[in-house]
Amino acid sequence: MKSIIKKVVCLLVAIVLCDQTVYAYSSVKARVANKTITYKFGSFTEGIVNKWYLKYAWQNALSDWPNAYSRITVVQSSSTSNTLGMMNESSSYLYGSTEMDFYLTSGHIYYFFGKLNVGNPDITNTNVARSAANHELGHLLGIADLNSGNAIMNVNRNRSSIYVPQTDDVNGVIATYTTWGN
Amino acid sequence: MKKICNCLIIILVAVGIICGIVSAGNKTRHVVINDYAACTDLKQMHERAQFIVEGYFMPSTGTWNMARDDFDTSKESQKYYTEGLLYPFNVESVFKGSVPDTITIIQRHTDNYSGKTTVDDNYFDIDFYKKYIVFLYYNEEFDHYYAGFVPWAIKVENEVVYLEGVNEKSIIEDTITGNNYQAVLNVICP
Ligand SMILES: [Zn+2]
Repeated sequence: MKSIIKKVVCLLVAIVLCDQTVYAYSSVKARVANKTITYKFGSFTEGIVNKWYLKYAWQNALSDWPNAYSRITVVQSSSTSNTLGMMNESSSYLYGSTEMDFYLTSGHIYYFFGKLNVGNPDITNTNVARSAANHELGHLLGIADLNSGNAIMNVNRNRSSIYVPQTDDVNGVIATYTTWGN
Repeated sequence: MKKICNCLIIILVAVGIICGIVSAGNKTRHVVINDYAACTDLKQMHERAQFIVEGYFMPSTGTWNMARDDFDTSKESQKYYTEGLLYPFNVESVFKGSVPDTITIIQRHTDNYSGKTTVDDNYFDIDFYKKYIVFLYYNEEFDHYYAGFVPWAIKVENEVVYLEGVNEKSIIEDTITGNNYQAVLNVICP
């Protein structure tokens, strides 16, 4: 009898744990309309100095998301004010930052400025920069930060090994648009 | 005459409702979301920090723009203002690294982009009467110490410790809250 109770308890614990892994993502209402990221690039060069590696990181991320989930589209447009660029804060605290404005009723983002932090010593690592870029685009697609798990939205991820959107991130985006609509 | 009055009232009410709906639909919000480095437990905090010290904060002596020019860190950014608060910190014990008796710690406070100010998610008010254990990095160029990840400060109240600057959804807090002072020292003392 005791062993049956033990087994049942173990099974319940396992179910709870599995549940957490499957549904780790966190959805928010603020998102770009129609899963479409319309953007232009900010400046990555001044005189003879350039930070092209940050632009490449954005470019990689802009193809990583549609590769992970084909319903996502990215559109480069010179007429938009939405920008993917950079910032400079001499600190290992920040990898990137995105400011955004959205309508409270629809949740649609009508302005964003995504930045990768050139002042973070780690960001010169190609995978780390790409990881940060994919994380910021994740925010535009309506998924929030996580503190654990195999996800690009996990702020405690290993950025040199988790640098493209993971299954959990894609599930999060699907949940966002299922919940709030396109 | 009464008919006209009724019509006018109906029109005014309708216009009011439509304006209300339109303005509600146009209500907007500005947010800044950061991809910041985070630790999930004390062991990780101990490993990652360059310096771990214990002591007291003194009231802030000023502010400093943490947003620098994109291509020349020695100049402050002309586009953005990220307010950092500067505090002298009197060091009582050093658990990792080597630091002078008084250091300057900068705390990230607000972001100001496009004229809109937002408070950093991980900001907390410092209690000048309480002892803190802080996990720091050093910025050689500007000679100040800063948080290289969150959480970065533990408030000490007698034998009980509290993690500071951890937002409510965090799982980090659970691994330390309730720990007593000695338990923390057991992890961070070499
Ligand atoms: Zn984030």
